[in-house]
Amino acid sequence: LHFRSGEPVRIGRRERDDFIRFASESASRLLRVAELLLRDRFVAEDAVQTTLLRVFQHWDRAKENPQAYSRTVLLNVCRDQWRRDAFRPRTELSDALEREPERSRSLLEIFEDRAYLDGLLRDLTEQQRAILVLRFYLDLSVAETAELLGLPEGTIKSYTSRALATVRRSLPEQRKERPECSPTNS
Amino acid sequence: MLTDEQLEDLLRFEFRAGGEPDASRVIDAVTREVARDPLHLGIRRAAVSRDEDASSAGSRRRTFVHRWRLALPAGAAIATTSLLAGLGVFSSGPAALSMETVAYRTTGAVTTAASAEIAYAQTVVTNPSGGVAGNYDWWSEEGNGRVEQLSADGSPVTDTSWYDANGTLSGREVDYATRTWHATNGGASRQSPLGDFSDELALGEVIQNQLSSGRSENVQSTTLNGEPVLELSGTVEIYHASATKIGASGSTAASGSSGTAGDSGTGAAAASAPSAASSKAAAAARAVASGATTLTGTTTNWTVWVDPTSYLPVQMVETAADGTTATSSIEWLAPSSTDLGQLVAPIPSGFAEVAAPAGQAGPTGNSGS
Repeated sequence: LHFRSGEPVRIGRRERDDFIRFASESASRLLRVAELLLRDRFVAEDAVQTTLLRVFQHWDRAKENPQAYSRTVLLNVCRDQWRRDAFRPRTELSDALEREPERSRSLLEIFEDRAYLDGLLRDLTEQQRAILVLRFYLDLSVAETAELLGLPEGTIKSYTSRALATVRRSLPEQRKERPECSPTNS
Repeated sequence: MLTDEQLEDLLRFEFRAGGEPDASRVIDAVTREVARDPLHLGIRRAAVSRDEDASSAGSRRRTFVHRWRLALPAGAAIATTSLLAGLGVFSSGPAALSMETVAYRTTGAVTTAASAEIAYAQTVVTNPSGGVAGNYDWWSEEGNGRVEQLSADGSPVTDTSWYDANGTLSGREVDYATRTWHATNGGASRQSPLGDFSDELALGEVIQNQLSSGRSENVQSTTLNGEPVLELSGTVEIYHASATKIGASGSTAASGSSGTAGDSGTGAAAASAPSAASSKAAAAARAVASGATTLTGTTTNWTVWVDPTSYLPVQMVETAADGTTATSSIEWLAPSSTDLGQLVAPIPSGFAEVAAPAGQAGPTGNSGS
């Protein structure tokens, strides 16, 4: 975009409205994905905000398939965050509570959810975690997941299998034998 | 033992536990960002014909032209105040309007126009003896801007433009004396033509600062270049975070150089950066941060002429205690392709790209021509 040639183009009011509508409809789902991938509500909010603004910057391209475009951007933003996290300590819950005491109740709820999920996913690599979130939260197919992550489908299948095995090992003992916990069987 | 299928269902259940999170804060932030940055990066920077621009730049017409272009949002703001007037909140004729009402309407019109139109000003700075110290053309729209310094005969001296990409300022600087230019990436230097009067680069903010923090003292109906206008006048305190007064630093503005206001990149510059009254706290903070112990205010007289229909300013004059004066003729341009192109400093043919000074590192090989 740096001094790109061509006529200047202003994003029209209708396109801006389209983007706002898309952002409003998609933000919650993107935020949940970011939470699952980044394991921090505040970092996830920043990531989704960055994602949506990048989508807006490229709305002329993104509007063709904004859901797919935003997923790709979010994954890139999360990858950047993972790289940064490698050099920084994670934000502790106490810090978060101190920052926003009025939200402590919901934060505790979030923490409870996160603690259980973290327990399930704690031994996964970031790649495996991303695959499980894409496959089983966004319900993407193997092919879609492979395209999004830039990996062969076979790799996605094998990573999924290994990730599920890891999750299985992390399950609390009482749930390993209780298939009725699954909503499809309840 | 759970089967893979059961395990997948378990994950689907846990991933969705608690429902989708409340993303209202994110939505609010994004909506706000999009609304306040209408150009954003959706604009493709104009590739102005270099030859054409080089020939026209030297003979730029400097006559004052009235161009009333009201954006629909600005019209809506005025409609609101008109409705209040209809309800008896305000009197109907301009002569009956109070200073506060005109200031209020002008602030509203400027606020709306600042995000919907391009503010274009021609500023002439004169020194206390009346000699012309600097001529500037400047364009501003949220996060984007351009300042072109012109010589007395109207030929360009320097031309600087910048745009805000996710909080990082990038742009280019063209030097007509050396026939060179360089790109800036993350270190664009911005210099307000108003120098000691204001370090704001967005014209709308300058006017809003005056109206909101200055003392509004008078309003009257008059004419300007044969056109009916409302004239507002008052005073504003310009704060310096050092003992330097405008009288002493006025020579900076009088020399036609960029002054000290725009360069906040160094502690010394920040220490002497002037600031309007609304930024008093910020100025004090800068003073403390830089170790300065004195915060000095000087009084500047200002007059703004506004269109009685749109309430958009068309001319502004600021006079320092020492007699240094900045006169700005203002137009509000509709964001057409041509006018958007004015936000980018053109590079005349034959100008050589040079390395950016330290702190303004720009991409190499980006000739832009």
